[in-house]
Amino acid sequence: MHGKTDDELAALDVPTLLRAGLDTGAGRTELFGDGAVAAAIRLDQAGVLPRSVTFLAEIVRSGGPRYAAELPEPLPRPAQTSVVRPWLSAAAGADGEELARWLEAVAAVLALRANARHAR
Amino acid sequence: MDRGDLEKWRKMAGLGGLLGRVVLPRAIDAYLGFPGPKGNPGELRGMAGTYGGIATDADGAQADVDKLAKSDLPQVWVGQAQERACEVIGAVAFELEHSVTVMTKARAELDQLADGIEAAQHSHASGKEALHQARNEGDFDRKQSIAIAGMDQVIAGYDQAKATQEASARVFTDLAAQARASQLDSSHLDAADKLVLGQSAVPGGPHDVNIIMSAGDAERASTKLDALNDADRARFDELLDEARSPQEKAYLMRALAAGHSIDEIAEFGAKIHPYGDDPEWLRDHLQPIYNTTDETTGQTIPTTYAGAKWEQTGGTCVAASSVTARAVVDPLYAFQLTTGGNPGDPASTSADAFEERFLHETERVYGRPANEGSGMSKDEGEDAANDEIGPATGAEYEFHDLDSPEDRRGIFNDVAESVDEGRPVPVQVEGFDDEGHRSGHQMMIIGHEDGMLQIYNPWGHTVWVSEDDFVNGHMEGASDSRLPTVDGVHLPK
Repeated sequence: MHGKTDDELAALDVPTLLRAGLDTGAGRTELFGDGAVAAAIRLDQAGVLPRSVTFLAEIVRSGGPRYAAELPEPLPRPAQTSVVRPWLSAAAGADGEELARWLEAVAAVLALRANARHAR
Repeated sequence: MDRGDLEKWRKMAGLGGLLGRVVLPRAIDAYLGFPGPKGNPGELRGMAGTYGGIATDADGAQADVDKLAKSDLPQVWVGQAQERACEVIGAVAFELEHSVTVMTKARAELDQLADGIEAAQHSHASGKEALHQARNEGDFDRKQSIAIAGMDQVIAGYDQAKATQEASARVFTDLAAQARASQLDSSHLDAADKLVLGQSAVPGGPHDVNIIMSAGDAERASTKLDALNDADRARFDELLDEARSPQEKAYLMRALAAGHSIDEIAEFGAKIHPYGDDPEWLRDHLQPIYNTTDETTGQTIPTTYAGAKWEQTGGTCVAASSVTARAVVDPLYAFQLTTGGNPGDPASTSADAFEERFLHETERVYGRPANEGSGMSKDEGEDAANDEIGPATGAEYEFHDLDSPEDRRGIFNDVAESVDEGRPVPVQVEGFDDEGHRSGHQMMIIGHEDGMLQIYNPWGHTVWVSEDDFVNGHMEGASDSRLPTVDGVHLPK
């Protein structure tokens, strides 16, 4: 139970965390903790808005992870899509509700980071 | 041995000189030990014949059922029972027609598979014959040329078998995906329900490419249906019973598949019910795309809503394909965009109103946020959490003021439970300087394990704190010495 810095978190392999956390449940705490922050940092760097991630979560909830993985533009810009595409592919066989929750957790961390920037 | 090994031995068998003479017999033996393509063409043809027979029988039955649905039944029956029976008979007719198509395709594919495997086995056998001949040949040059010709035939047989099997696998995968009725495997639906729902299609194009519920929808709907509690199940059954057409039922089922609560579905159901017997109205307002041509041309024509396109990029810098993609899988979302929730109001259902909502939605999802809040006072923090974090986690958040260790001890389990459910909890910390000036900061509780909480501080790190630290104002490990005390959390309502 060690803390990590943003640099350490950003270097985590999100697809691996998704496979371990969604399929077996064994790595769930790590996925929703470190993994959600890692994903939020990467999306923040690509200029993604929290609400765009929430919207993607809704598509996952309604259409299932596989449907979302096949979207031409899961996020509006190609550079943003290239960040999220490997995650969606890694989770294509997972439970939709669980993946949607994770994306919502990512969006929440993303919003927190944005708010903290504005507070400075 | 795989294809790579076959190629390697084939290359070595072509060598000249002493090495070639040493290697060639070993290469021949390696090929002679390679197993031929598996499969029994005779049995496959027998199966093809059986499928063909089923197709013929189903075709005959379909003609009878069609006649029954169109003429005899309505004359002898009236009222709700008759309508229900017509729905079922109609669905049976479509199912039979679909079966004929599937069985006919399956028969043709099995015949092709049998032909392909037979040709591959033939190629393999004549290659082996040549290799046996080569093994007994004394003259090296002749031995080599016969062996290489035989090896080429073995490789060709291997390639053909592989290509035939892969092509067949693709066709059968497609056919399996078309078996929609079987996807609705909920224990809460009887066979007739499954058939009617699985075969409901929108009008305006070929039936088989316009089925309202995809195999994926059916699977998700079945899971959701089985997970409903008794009260919700009864309410949903009531909605289905009151539906005025199989199409209306299928859209209710898709709403369930899309993850909506029974309250949301009931509200949606009440609004579309007046149009329940108008499949074209349902199609135009509840889904953006339908197929006007058949599968073979592969043409899907994105339809317009009252003349306005579902795919548009004007007004925003980003493409809107994901907004349309969500409308494809969520009929409530499509309904909101096409009608604004007021299907009876011409102003709200006009093409202009739709276009405006569509653009507004695209900007809402992908545009720049309008309010760039700057403060982190408690109220502003709460607003920010409700604006972004609340909707972001799909639940509305409520701020809980925590003024004492007792307050914090009392809320700890709720915090842990929310985090365990995958809903992170925003936490407010504060501190006072020597002159009594307050400073505050917001962090996020993102993990819970063994009585410890994992905190993410947006200054750039995570840290684990104990329940006692959370309760007794020792959060400085997560924040810093100026901000030791938890003074509130945002919990989902």
